[in-house]
Amino acid sequence: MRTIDSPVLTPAFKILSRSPASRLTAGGVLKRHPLERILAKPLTRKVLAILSKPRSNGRSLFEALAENYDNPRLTGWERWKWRLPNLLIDALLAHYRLDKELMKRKLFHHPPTVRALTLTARSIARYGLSAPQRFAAPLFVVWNITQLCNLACKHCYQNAGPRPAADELTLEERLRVVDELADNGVPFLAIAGGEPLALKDLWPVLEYANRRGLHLTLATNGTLLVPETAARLKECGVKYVEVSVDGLDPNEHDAFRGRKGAWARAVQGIRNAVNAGIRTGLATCFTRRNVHRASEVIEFAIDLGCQTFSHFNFIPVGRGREIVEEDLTPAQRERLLATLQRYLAEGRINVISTAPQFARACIVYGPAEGVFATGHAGRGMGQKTMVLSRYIGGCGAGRCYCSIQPNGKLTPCVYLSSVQAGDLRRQSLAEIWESDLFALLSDRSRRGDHCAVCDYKAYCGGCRARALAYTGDITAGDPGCAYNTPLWRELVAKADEQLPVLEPLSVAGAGRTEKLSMGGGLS
Amino acid sequence: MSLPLAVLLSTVCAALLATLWLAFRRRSECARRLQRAIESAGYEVVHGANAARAHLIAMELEARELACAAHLAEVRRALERIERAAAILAEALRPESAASPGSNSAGAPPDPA
Repeated sequence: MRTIDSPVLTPAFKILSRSPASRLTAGGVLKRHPLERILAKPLTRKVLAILSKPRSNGRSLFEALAENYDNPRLTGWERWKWRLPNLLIDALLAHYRLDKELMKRKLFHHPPTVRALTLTARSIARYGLSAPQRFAAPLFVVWNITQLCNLACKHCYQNAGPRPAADELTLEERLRVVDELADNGVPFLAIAGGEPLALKDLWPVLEYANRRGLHLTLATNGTLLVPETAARLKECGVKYVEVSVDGLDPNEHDAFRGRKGAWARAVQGIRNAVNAGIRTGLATCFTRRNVHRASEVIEFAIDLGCQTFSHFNFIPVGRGREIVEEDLTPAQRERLLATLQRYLAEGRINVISTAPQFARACIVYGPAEGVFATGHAGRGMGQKTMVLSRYIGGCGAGRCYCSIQPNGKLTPCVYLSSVQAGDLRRQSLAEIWESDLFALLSDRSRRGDHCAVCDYKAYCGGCRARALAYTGDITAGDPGCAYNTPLWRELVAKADEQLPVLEPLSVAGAGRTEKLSMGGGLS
Repeated sequence: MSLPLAVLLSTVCAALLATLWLAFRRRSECARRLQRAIESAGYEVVHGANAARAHLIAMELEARELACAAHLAEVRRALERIERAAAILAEALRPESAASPGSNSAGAPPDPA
């Protein structure tokens, strides 16, 4: 076995402006929604700007409307002040036959949703309606809160280890980061690491973030998720916990994670989270060693009572560079995406994937009136969701999502830790968010290879981290996608015209490697 | 003009207008059905073809007997969709189908909305 040599894996951020490839997809059928026409009107943008503009108290008119809608705590003059807007909202709900109580619970009195809608309105007002939508601030932030971890996973993009990094943020600085996120209207925050549960400062950060109205989720290896911890997470307002499990074989998991007993503890951690009544997900990073067991792993997640299965798209960064030969071929990834789509359509478990191609897979493998994925926003039925998934737009790096490193550096994605856009110790989030890098990443017309001409570029955009890791060009095509196979062939040819591949997937005990000549055969 | 003649004339006019209105309605209904059918069929054909293309590329990339079986299954599924699209179009384009907007035959196009 050999690894792809260093010229192929380039850590530096470069733009080489690869030219577009000839089109392999068949020519798109674009579904439209009447709301798109309304939102694109200049007058609508003006109205959205008024509704979403922060007032003197830092809150927008839209947030005030939502909070004061049918609010029993309002008394005297305040009640009369909001009477007319309340009546207008009632009339609108009645006109569209929407359930008032449901709308109160899921929208008006659900602060993260109100915040997300406010941010969306602000974004449309600022940038106009664009597919995918560019956001005025991140909709979703993943905060790798520490480098400290009690495991040593082979694929760790963060290179986490037994000690925190020397320059990690202090508790005071971490609380300032929470303020920065809340003040900029960020609705969703996921805490990851390292292992966040190994960090003492986690609890005050969670409590404070919850008080500031952020919707909290947590990604963990599960080994420290004892019943008391699960209960405390729930108290702190954590709405979703995601535990990483690589498969059904404890020995394989333990070997991959670098610690004996890790599998048993992770699985017990999932049970503890489920028992505590927290929405729980099982996350698996598929490589050539475990991808042939994808269906079994998802069935296992269902059996454990998980509501979500989360596929982590392996990217050869961090320690993952050492196991680049285990990355899936585009063909293997395509089969995996088809499998994930079937589970999503079946509806026994929600399925999310960090592979931006997943939204495209839902379109090509499902019927027009079927189930569509909308990234981490979940799933939905029919054409409305398909249209929505075009605005959510697959890869969100630097457009609707970003990552914070343990030292406060801001990066477009957790897998792009070498591409630092700014430093929250010295700069504000708003200042960093306006960087040229994020503007580049938000612009789907600036893509190379098949990603430039693909029918699904608004839905997907290709993984920028994979493009950078393999080609050194952050705007190149995603070599992990079947439609970018010419690029993959080019990379394989560079790597001595050979790439280590596993035995066919149906052969039990996959894990052995052999060479496959890539010469010829593809056009 | 006598009253009975006036009544007769207005009845005939009303009947003519009603017939015209029904004919136009049926025609626009047919046009709508046809448009829906073409949209649905187009969706199936385009995305089905893209799915088939992805797995054909994958097959070429792997060029392995066992791995090919899974891709072939996907290609077969995609081709079924393309065939279904062709059937939808054929059904919608048949004159008797277009003339019976209320029919709910198996070949009727799915509502894309």
